[in-house]
Amino acid sequence: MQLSSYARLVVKNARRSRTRLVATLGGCALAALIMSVCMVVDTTLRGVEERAEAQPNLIVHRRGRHCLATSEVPDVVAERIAGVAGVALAMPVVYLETPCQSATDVTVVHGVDKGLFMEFRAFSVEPGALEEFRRVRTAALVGERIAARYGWRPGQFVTMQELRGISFTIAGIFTTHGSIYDSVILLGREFLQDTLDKRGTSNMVLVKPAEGVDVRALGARIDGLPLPVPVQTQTEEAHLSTALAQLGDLIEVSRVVQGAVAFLMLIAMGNGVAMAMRDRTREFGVLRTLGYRGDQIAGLVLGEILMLALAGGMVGCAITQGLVVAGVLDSVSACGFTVSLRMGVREWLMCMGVIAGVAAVSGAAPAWRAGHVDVVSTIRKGD
Amino acid sequence: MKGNGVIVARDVCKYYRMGTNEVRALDHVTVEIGAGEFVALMGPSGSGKTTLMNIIAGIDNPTSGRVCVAGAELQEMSEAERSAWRTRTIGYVFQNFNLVPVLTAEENVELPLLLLPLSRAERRAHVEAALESVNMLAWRRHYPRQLSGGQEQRVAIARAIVTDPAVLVADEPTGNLDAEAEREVMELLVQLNRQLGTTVVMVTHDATAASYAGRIIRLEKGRIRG
Repeated sequence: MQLSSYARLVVKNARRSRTRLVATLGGCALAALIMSVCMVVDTTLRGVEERAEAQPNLIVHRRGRHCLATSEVPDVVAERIAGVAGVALAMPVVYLETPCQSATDVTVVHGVDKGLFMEFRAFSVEPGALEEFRRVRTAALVGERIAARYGWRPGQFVTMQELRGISFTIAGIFTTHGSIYDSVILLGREFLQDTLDKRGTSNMVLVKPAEGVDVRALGARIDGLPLPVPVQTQTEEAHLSTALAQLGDLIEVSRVVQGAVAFLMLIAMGNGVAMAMRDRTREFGVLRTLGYRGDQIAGLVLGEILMLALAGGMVGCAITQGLVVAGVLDSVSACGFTVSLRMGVREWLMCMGVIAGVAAVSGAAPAWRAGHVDVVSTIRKGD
Repeated sequence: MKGNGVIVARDVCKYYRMGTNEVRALDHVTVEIGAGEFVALMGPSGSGKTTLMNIIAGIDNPTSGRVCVAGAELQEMSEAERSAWRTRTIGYVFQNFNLVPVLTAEENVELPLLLLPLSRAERRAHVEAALESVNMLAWRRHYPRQLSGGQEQRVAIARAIVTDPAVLVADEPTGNLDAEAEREVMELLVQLNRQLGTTVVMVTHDATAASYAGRIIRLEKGRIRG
């Protein structure tokens, strides 16, 4: 049978009952929506760890205070660390976030040394914007994700009540090409310290090791320094992993939800399809008398199920994509890191793959039965 | 198998078990139907007429015996071969019409053609010719629910003849029709039989319907009577 004819039959059959069509499409769309949201959180968090491996920087914070908001480190610590052999640069950083420990809408501010911060990671920013950021005390550079979330433009004056009422003027928008820093607001450290009334105190020290240095040994040397406060040094990757471990429950829950949704979809679809196919048993028998083979009829049934499931799945994924683009589902934050959620091709393919797989499994038995009906008994008169 | 008929059934038996009893639906039936014949299979309920027709149509298997239809030995064909053979050789008309409710009249008629290597234009031409021959071309875009019983049966006949089969089998084709529709359908079957030379095998209880046939084969308790 030609593919176009096959597709036309599948579409005609799928539209057979409006109620069933709406219920199946709606169910699959809802399942895809829930699964894709969970997948976005899951894959984004896993992706952050992978990208962090490229960052060789060290993070120094108060011992036992992994959450940067609770870690207070005097700026003098950075000066002492800068003198350690193997340290290329050390920069105190003030950390401020909206009062949520783990949420999907957290705003993070880093107070940095305006002359040094570009040495630590690859920020892409307009030279004019950088110049203004360095020149004006109240100027800020904002990551592209957070700028998109709030619709900020360069030159805009912003007051953030949820961040202790700090006000700043946006000098420019930067990108780090997908790292967690794309959701961060950069301000001058001293300006932020003054605003918070904590002059001379930051939350962490960012350390850039000299080339070829063993970072673990360097971390041990820093931790062994006689400093005003006990500190703990970690690679950014390790720090991020520890932070993400605190989101472990969220990841676990998202996976359980994905599994539960897939299972429920399997049961619901399997039941719905089986009922619908039972009503059409005679029709399958009639098709057999016309010369349709069992596998062709099974293919029609399976094609119908897959078409409905994929159409519903696409609607669900598109809604998730819309929520991400619109900023409703923007980021996940935990202990110093804000992870921007992304719905990319990979998440689309994964979600549609799961939907298609579940639909194929739930439809396999009804399709097999449709292709193996007893022709004589199904077309019996008066039934 | 020896025989000059387009349908030759030799010593055909069809037994099945119902509980502990063995039911002999067909018991050593031998029948030969010539090309272009119009034959009515008559008999009381349970006499085996529908079973014989289904075996001729290749949708049921005899317990023993041999059946040759249009030169094909049915028991020697695989299930897939028999399906392909059925598309080209057999047209099946049901008592209940059995049109697919979500397809229009022309889409129902097109169903068997989808299995053949034909272009869309060729399929369209075949469908129009078949609908024209049953005088239903004007209703081509109607769905079964929009047609009367007689019209539905005429569309079903168009579907049965659209592949130009050698044999048309009809299982009580007028059983659900009023007298006027019955007359129209029977005249149509006779016309197709005469004009196209299609061999027609019709199961019926109805003596009026049987009177349109050229020959009547009577079955009783699984055997041919007389």
